[in-house]
Amino acid sequence: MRYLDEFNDPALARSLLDDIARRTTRPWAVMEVCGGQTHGIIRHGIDQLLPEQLTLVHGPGCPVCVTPLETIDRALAIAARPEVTFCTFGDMARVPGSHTDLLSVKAGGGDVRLVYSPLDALHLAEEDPARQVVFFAIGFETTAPANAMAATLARDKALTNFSLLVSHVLVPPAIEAILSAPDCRVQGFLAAGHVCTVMGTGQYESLAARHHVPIVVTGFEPLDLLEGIRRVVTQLEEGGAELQNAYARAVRPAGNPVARRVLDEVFETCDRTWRGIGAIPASGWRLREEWAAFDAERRFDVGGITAVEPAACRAGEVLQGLCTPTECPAFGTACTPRTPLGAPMVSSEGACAAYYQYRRLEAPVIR
Amino acid sequence: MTGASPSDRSPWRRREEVDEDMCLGVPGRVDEVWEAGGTRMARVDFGGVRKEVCLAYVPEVEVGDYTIVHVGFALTKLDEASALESLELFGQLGRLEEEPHTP
Repeated sequence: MRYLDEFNDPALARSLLDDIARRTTRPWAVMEVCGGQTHGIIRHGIDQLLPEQLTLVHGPGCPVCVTPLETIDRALAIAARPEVTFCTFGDMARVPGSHTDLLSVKAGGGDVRLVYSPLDALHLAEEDPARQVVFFAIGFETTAPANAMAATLARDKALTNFSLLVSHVLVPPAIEAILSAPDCRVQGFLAAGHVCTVMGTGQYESLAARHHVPIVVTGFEPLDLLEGIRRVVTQLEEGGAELQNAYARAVRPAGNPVARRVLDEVFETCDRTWRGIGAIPASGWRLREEWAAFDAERRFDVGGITAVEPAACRAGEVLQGLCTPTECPAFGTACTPRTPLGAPMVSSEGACAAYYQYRRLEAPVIR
Repeated sequence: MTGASPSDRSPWRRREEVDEDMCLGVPGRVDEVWEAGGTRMARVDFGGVRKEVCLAYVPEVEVGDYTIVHVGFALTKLDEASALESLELFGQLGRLEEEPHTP
């Protein structure tokens, strides 16, 4: 068992697709709230293989895409300081701020490093005590344990030249916000499997019950995605509204207890503005007061920041599932992965980038 | 499974960009485990690409286990029994279709 080829089997995929087709008798809209799943669905053409009545709506599941513009501008200002080595995940480096992006800051002489893990940034801080090393700690509940551990190790090693610019976002409050919107058309959700490996399934159980909506914890391989969709459709057709776990090989009901304990030590819940969506109450994590010494926002005073979004970009509507990337007039013309206007065109988890990579040369689908 | 095999027009193929997709949670096999400054670390093999990974959050993981890794941290141990159960269920769906339908 390698957990890859087995969950890519075309014959089993056909069985799942046939079962979905047999069960679907009415139009349904199902949202995935994970950029990894959006990428998988578009890459494998899963949406095009489903019955016509079944619509997949892409949710705000790309962490780079929803990081507030004001925070990116703050990152750019910190990264431009001469004493700072600014470390970030690669896909954040090209996300446009109000006036520039991190790669341009690097081209202009700023010390910007692309790293794979916050531990890489921690090592840089240990190696060069003369530099102030800052890590851009963005992401959902899946990324937060890594950043919490980086803070813990920095404290244990008594590092004074390491800090985190934290802008974590949480999935359940976003689902809550989507369901509470008056024009909500989403009837069922695929919950992000890897977020649940950390947090478990409890929060989604209560969401499903309160909003009477089926939620299925779903993995990332083609068969996982199809099984998640099949279970949501089954519930919708039968009037069910419960939390189910279709990714049991990776997700336990209580999540990862060790990670949750460390997360709770380091972070506290806060209100967060989501780029393209707006403020969502209690939808983020920030460093607790006890960790203020490792908070880049407090360490570096960069003055007042006025954020300006580009007018042509429809990223906000794409992120809320109100339009598809190809409906944006800038898609593939003014906005491409090389010259992105909005964040969803940058990250491989962004819906616009996925459509650009796999769909831009395609003729319209005739069913 | 009824009808012609869809494999000739299968929309999915083998993953060739393992490295790029790693942050999207590709499973990897733990090849080697060691201790560094009180933290358990591992060498994890992602279909040929090997990465150093922190095991602080998965104390139960041993050499030979498969795990999901996110930005350098293993987050969960994959459970083979659950995986086989899912595949068995998918197989049953196909066999159900082959049975003649009663009107």
